[in-house]
Amino acid sequence: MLQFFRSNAKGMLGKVIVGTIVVIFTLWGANSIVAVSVGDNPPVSVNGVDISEYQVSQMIDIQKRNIQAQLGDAFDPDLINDAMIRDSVIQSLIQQQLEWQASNEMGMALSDEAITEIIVNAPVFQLDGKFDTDTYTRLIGQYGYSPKDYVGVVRQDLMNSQLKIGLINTGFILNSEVKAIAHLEDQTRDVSVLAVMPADFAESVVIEEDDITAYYDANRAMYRTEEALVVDYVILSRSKLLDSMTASTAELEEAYDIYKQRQAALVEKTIAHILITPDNYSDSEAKKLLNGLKDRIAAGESFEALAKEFSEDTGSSDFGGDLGAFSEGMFVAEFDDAVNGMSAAGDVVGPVKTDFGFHLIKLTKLGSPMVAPFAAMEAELRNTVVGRKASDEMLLLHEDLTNAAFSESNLDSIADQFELTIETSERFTRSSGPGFFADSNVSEAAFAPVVIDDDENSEVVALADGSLMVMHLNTYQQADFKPLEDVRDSIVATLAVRGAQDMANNYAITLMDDIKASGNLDADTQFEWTAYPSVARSGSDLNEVLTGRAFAMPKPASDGFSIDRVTTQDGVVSLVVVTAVHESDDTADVTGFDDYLGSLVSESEYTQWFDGIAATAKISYK
Amino acid sequence: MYDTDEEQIEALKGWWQENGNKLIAAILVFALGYFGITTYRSSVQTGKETASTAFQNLVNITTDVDADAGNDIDYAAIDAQIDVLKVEHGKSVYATYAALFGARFAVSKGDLEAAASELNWALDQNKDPVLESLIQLRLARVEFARDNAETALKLLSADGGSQQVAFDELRGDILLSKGDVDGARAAYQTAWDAASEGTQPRPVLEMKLNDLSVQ
Repeated sequence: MLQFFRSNAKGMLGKVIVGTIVVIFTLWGANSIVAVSVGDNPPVSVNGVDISEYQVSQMIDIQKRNIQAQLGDAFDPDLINDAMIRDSVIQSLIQQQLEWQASNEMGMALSDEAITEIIVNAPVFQLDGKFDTDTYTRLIGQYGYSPKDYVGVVRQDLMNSQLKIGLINTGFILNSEVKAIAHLEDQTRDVSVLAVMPADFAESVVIEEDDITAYYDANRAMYRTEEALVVDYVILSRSKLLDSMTASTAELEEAYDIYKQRQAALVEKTIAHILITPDNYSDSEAKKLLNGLKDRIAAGESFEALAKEFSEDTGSSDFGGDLGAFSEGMFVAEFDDAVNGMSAAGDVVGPVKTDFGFHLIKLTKLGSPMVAPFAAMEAELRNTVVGRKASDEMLLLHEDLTNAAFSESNLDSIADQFELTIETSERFTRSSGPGFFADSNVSEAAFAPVVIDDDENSEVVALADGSLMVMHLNTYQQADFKPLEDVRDSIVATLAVRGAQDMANNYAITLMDDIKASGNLDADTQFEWTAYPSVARSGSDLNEVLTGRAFAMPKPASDGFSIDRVTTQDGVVSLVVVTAVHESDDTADVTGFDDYLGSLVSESEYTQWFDGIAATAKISYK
Repeated sequence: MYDTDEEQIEALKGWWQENGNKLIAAILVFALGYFGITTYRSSVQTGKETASTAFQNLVNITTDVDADAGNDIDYAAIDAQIDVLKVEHGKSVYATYAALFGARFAVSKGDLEAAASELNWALDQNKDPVLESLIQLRLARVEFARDNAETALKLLSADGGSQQVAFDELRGDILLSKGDVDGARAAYQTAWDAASEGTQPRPVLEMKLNDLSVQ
């Protein structure tokens, strides 16, 4: 009863959650954000408002964390590529933008106080039950938001929520509507089915020789074979070269110095800033103001207090200008350079000019570098030094080998010159082969005209492990078609199935015509009728496809029947007959059903409303 | 142009006597106008924000209702907040939403007359063309449930805009209730043909249409 609907419940809109963006942080723990590159070309614009590449990358990152959180340990980053989620991310950003524009158009608004209240009361930004500035700036920074941006995002999110609440949560379902639908849903029908099995005609199928050749000719493309090659080859092995290399003490010490510098650059920096924007000050006024502040800080005044008083970055000024942990690429290049120039906690630099205005930047905290002692690093450093030397040597050899492969017409003298052994491959094709012959750069070089047609050496190919290879033709086999004898059996099998299916279809069509003409179900047939009394829309013994058809057939006249023919995916051809329709006595329990129907109505109303908005919008992709 | 500085000063003085007052008046008008527009804009914005806050208060009360389904609903608190929005922010879209909430809770109380009057109020206030058809649809459903089939059909004879599929489906329901099976089938078919261009599944509409199928 009513089961049909519950099992078909898909795409139901959940409860509208106020401040979903805040929720992101409560669900997903914070790892350091993937550095996102800011492109200049917005991928799409909605009624003239650009959606930036930065927003797209940011949302892709958030989506990936979402998937990761859902899958837990089963998460494999290789299975998720950005292109897969990119389209859906762009679609949802367009939807948000359209909703946002519609809410503004309709005269909706949200006060700054309301937004601050939401942020301050979000449990995720709290420490010991109180709002914590550090936690707030750190968390939103990890998601690539500046405090100013984040306030904007929350505003948009809250207003879109209000819009959806106004449209969706105000929806209703009427008792009379629930009753009418339940009445239809609880209807049952008396059904009889006669199944015509193609297998029963298999022995009667006659396959002529002409049919087989006709099928073969029509489907030749299916029987194509690939061209194939056997080659002789030499390999200049990188691992052998590596074994012959050594590293001197001086070289190891130099590598250790580089390692120490790199560790020093990885130290975590926490920063704060005071921003003066061009909105209220000219360039020279801004510089003068900031230089004055810098002097006051040098004289002992608190940077935090001055940030609260003067900074025009509304998102951070309340928090003493705190921007949280710094990572390269989080801000604009000029800003990054200035931060990288600072080396001690308490340093203040500026005024620094960026697109946002002039900044005074303070390095508030500096971690200490993690440097392992030389002894612990020696083996790793040796690998690095030896690897680099081997790569340099390989570059020189690559050039020599290329010259030799080009000037010689076979492998013999190359093998002599570089002290290599000539080996012979197994048979391989463009699409498959053993070992590295499956690599596309190897097969491309092997199947090049210079090898196949001119009988010269191949170009030098770099293998995945860094070794170099040169090939020469041994045997070439042209592309062809499998002969008819090889595929005859599979063609006969295919034609047998097809023939039996045709015979079953024709039998069922004739039988149905006879039944319609005679007006009764007594027609003589080798197959049997099965009766399914009082079939419900779901949960009966009759399969889903035939049930669906039985409920879509015309209602029979009293003492009559209606009939139809259905071929299911297994090839069985069924005659379906409905002999009676039983209307519901309306005693079914509709508890829960009204909620479901109500959500269907709301979902439809909202989707249609949104389509109405989207229909008149100008959306252009670049 | 002028032979001496004195002549030039005299000429300026003459111009000032003739035009000075006009210039001052123009500057004053401009300054007052600018001040007026900014003040007006900011008061409009404040008005929107106040309405938004009042609406958020209503949402908070109704969200409690949704969360504790089955508990007693505090209709008095809801009605009071809806009145605040309708009386103090009558022209805001938030007041329209409030009336829509009023209709929803009237339906859950079983008071269809009150629901119809809330929806009629919303229809009168609303200025948004896309929202218009949504409100018309809800009103037509309530009128049909009140046995006012003709009123409902009249509402549905308007352009349904983005809600046209639901308009046609409801028209089918009404025609069927009046015994016009062919008219109902045609209306359902129109709705179904338009709906199949979209991606949304419509199991109820499909069931209604199939139930009227003919050979």
